[in-house]
Amino acid sequence: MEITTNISEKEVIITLAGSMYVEDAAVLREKLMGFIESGHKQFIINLHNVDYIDSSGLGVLVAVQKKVLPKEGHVTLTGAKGVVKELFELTRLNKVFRMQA
Amino acid sequence: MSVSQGIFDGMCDYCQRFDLFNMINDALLLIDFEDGKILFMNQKALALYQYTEEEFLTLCADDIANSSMRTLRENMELAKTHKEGYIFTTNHIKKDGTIFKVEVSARYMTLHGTPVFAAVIRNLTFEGKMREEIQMAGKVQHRMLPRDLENELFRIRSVYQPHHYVSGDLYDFVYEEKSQLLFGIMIDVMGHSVAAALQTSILKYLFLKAIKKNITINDRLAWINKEVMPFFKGGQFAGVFLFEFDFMCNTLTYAAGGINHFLILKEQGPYIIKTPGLFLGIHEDEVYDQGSYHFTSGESFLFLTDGLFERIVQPMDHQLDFWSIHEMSKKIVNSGECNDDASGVGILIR
Repeated sequence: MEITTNISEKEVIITLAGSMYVEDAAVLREKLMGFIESGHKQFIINLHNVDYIDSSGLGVLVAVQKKVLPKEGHVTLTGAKGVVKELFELTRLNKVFRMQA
Repeated sequence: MSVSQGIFDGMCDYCQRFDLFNMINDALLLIDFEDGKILFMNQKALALYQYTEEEFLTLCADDIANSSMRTLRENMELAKTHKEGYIFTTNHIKKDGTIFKVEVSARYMTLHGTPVFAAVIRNLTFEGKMREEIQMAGKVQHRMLPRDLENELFRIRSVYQPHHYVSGDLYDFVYEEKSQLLFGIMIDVMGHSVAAALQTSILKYLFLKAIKKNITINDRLAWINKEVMPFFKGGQFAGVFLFEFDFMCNTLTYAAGGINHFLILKEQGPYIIKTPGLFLGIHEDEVYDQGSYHFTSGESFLFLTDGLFERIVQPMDHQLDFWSIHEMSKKIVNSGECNDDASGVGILIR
């Protein structure tokens, strides 16, 4: 899985590409938690080129959301499609995150 | 910090100037590669082996190593041939005779013209004890699982394999003979840690309380979710699937919270049933749906956590039946290839 990061003053934009399995989730967790520790709380995660996420990947996204919500932060997921979109709908995580097309 | 006088004068200046080696959080030894005499030790080493500086300086490597001279020499030679260093585990001895397990990160180097075996010693006693404790916890967790049941109405077969000693997975089922109700739960807590294992225990306990409540299955799931919230404050969550077989009216009812699928094996082949529902531990007031299915004799049902589900459904052979899937599941979980906890409960209707 490829993880690309762009940081602006207001938000951290993460672009993911490929399939996210447990090893990728660990890398993503480390990156995102690092950003939270350094004060970031608004995250936009682009899933347009993601074709699969396993439960550990979902775990990272939920953990980040739970961390930033009390700080009035948010995780916005963009571009989810196919089985990834279906996964968010089935697990109703589409109501937990801000989802954008 | 002490340095063997006379033999290593240049090194002494070097060490005193930088005092670097006492910043290392593990014991550090410098040993003369030729005669095995200990030339230098940092404060951590003194504390670990319980010698005074004066005592230590009279020792050789074989005084602290609980291995033969031959093994000791072999390890030193291996450190010499491995340019990037050589790591091995062995047992060392303290002054009071206590033998303890250590990891030695060794490297051969020449310091001020003296060939030296440099060794960073990490005490593995704590890690070893922790491993033993976790292994014991894993055994206790395994004993929480119910035994496979079998009667004139159904047969249950299950598989269970933690990824690493303890598991974030757990399942339970309870059959009430009088009402002919079979209650069950599949649990998949995020992670494989001891904390996840404890959370599975809480969920099992809540399940046992929930089935005593005269409420619908989706309300039971909502109640469990509410009760479990204080235990999922740190960003964790759990997948849970509740099922209930009523053998009086041949109906399965179920509610999903993050484990959003199960399999039905019919004569025509397997069917994946998907059912929505949010993980537990995220929203305190989450409302869950209830699904139902009218079952008939010969059908079977597979409730799997994703570690197993993903391995079985890829895609499934239509010829597979309850028993062959059970055998396949056992092979999968015993293969060591799962990178997740894996559990499954199969119920064959007789």
